[in-house]
Amino acid sequence: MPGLEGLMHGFELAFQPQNLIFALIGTIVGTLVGVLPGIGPALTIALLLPLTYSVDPSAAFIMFAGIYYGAMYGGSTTAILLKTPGESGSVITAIDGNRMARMGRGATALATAAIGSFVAGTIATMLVAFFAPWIVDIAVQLGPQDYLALMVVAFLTVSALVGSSPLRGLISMAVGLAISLVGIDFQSGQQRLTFGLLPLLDGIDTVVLIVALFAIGELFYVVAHQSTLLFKVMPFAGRWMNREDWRRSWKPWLRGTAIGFPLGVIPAGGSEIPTFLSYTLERRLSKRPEEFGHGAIEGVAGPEAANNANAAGTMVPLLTLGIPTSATAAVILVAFQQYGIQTGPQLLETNGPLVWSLIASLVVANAILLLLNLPLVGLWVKLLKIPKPYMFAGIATFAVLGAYAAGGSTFDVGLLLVLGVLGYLMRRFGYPVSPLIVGAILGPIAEVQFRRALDIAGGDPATLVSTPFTWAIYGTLALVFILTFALRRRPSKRDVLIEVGALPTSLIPTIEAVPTIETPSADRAPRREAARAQSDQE
Amino acid sequence: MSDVSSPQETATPEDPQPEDLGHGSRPPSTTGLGEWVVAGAVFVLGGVVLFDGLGQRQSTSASGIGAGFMPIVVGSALLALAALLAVQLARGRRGEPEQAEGDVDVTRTHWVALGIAAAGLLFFLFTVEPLGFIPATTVMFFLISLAMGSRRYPTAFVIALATACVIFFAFTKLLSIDLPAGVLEGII
Repeated sequence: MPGLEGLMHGFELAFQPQNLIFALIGTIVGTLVGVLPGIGPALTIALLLPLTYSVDPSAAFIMFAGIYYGAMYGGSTTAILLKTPGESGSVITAIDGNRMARMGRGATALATAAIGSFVAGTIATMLVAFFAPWIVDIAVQLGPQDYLALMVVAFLTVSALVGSSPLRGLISMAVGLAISLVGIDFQSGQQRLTFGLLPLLDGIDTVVLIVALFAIGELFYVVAHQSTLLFKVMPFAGRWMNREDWRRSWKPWLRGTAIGFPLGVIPAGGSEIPTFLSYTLERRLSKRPEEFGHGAIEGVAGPEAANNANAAGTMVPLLTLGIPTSATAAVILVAFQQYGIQTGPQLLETNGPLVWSLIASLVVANAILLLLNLPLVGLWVKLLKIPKPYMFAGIATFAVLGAYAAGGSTFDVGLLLVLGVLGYLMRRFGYPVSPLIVGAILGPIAEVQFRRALDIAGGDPATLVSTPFTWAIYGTLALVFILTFALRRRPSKRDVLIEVGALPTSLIPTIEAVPTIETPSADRAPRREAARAQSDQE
Repeated sequence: MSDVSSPQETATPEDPQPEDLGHGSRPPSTTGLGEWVVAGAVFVLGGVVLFDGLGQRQSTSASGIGAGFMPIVVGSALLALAALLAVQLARGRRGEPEQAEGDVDVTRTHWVALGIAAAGLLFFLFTVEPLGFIPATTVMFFLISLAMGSRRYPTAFVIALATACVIFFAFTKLLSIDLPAGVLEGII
């Protein structure tokens, strides 16, 4: 079993005192930044990239593991105490988690989220270690057309299944592809979309892109539309879990893991679907479904576990195929590229120790989080008391600093502002950001495979569907899309969320406001109308 | 907390509204003009990408597929998607503004605040090299905290200056990442 052997070796590396300290620093810094409202794991890693410029790759990746899980933990803390999830994976957690906090059970909600994340993360990381070498064995036999098929799957699923509107997801992805074209063509050396600007020859720096879309876009959005100057932080009260809470949590943890991991492994990105599936499943299995939406502990335990298992699952396509299927995985890929490490099936062979210590560090970071953060959560909550103006000014400072440090020129800062406006517009008009980032990072890789496949076949397009693997992939893809949209048409996510009273009232009017003006009929059944408008889009 | 609320505020302390910033806000927009502008921008981007692709030299690779192919595909896709979006908009379907941040109301836009924040960022862009990191960051931090509603000017300024100094020394001395000293060159 090469996987377990490698993992053991990874643990040896991860448990070296120096590396433990890096993991510790990573988890602390990751939590520190991730707990800030509106900052998800992808932005946290992108913002903290400059910190790792001065350490060697293996230490950097051990830190990343800590930052990654720290940021996820911080995200669920804000989701529960503040109801500002900051990333799609925590949206579901915010529903019942925030209700629990309001009922004075905030500590219980945080505990079931933290322990659930630990359980799910640990199991899922072990599964990564088990599956990775096995998938690499298959991956090395794949040709360029097979890779292209996998990437097409990633493109379409990430854009069409994430967010509420598939069309907007696809537009976001296409804009990302357009951004990825900027620079010098890898094969011919011709300039594309550079408009004669010298700094654009190297293309648009991915870190700048991510920081701009998430941090600056967020800043503009909040500045322009904030309706309160303070965060409404729930009092952090109550006790950790009692016997009853444990009894109600452990099954959702395991079921969440079972849902989250496989959906992370297949290149069908997004933590939105697994968390939502876990929530619906728990609601269906519960003896008290009426509690959901009003502070059911299962509604926090399941989705949190699913979210974490999903995050670990996305490591499989990333480490074995070099295909990122979430914004966070995309940032990690960028980190690999910055150290000159080639991702793909050869990664385990060429950089085995590094990969295994990364995987082992994920487990270690998870354990550190549990031991450290459960007692320290009061401290993180204090961070939320930083006045909003200073918090956002600080985020902006780190964003421009990151952009400046990445390229050492003000050109990247200018680019940051332009792309920040794009990030604002996407938020304002409902375009999901992750498809753009996945498009921008996966685009060039897909183009290489595409042109390689055609070059080998002398330009015959039939080569793209010439292997059994591609038939299987495209066939499954077609099936999945038909099934997803057929299923979505009936109980839409919106229906379920409205049913549990989870959709903020602010959301319902924004959808209705338009039809009520233009189509008077919407007045009669506004909710159903809103739901239908939703499913019609699909 | 108190240092963010404005002196003349009338709202309750738990829930101060940013209207008290005196920034202009518009009544809810019902025209969806912004949506159309975005659709138009997608269309224009598609055109630019497509023409860039069409302008690329003929490829000499084995397949004849060269640098121009992907821009043509992506540009055409953008044009098609923009057209689909226009159809959706014409049928009255709007995007859902992001809700993840909480406490936002997209029916109002604080243009003045937005302008101040943008000015802060632009100030950094144009002064970081001539004036140096510390002055540029101090002004930017200060302006953004104003835009976000801070009304205790001296406090905000001191925090801005302190943040800029701490970051400058942490990065240049501890992490050995070079940041421009600017006018303070030689002094620090």
